Amino acid sequence: MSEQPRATYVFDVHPLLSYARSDSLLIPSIVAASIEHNQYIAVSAVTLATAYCELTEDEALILDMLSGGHLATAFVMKPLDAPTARHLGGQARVLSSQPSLSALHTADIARQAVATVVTGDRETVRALLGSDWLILEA
Amino acid sequence: MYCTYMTKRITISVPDDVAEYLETVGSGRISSYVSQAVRQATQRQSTERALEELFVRFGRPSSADLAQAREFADKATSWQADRLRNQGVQPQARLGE
Repeated sequence: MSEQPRATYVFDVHPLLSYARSDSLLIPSIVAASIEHNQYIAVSAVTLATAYCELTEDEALILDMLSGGHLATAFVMKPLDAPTARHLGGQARVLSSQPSLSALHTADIARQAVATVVTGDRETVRALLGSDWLILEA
Repeated sequence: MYCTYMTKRITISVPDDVAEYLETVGSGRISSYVSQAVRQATQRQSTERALEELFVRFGRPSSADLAQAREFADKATSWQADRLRNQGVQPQARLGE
């Protein structure tokens, strides 16, 4: 089996919602620039599920264009496997803040890939990854 | 996962510089090298078409949005490369490389 490509970005739930609701054209611009630059965008399966929970059926159809179809080739979906679940659960137990499972998994993916996080919650990402982590607020 | 495809023998003409490069690939590997390059190019075209559909449907980003996103893409790439270098890790090949 071939190795998964290293992602340059990790999207948390905010850019996915913003994209699906067409709130801003910054996210489609980032997707376009990523394709131009031959970059990959990682998304946690937990984050994707969280985004789908908050969308209407019409908005969900728009998110489908990122999670399936030709645009999906620029995305790397990261499943939540048993070792990751064990790791994230253990991490959540000792944290004083109460980050969501989606935020924890996104931070874990970012740490492993050394990827920029695209988020609407800069403070949580900073708390999990450190103040020098590259973040794009979307 | 391995796929078995039917193959077809074709003759193509390429510019001298491309021929010179293909000679460095090795005579036994030229077909697979060219096939992989064509697959990557067609995949990229499909992705660009999908992106175009997206823009037609939701509006085209302004040149300022695109410039900001391109600038950030450069920044993200160099930040990642620096951090990986500091960790002693070679950056992985990306799409199309």
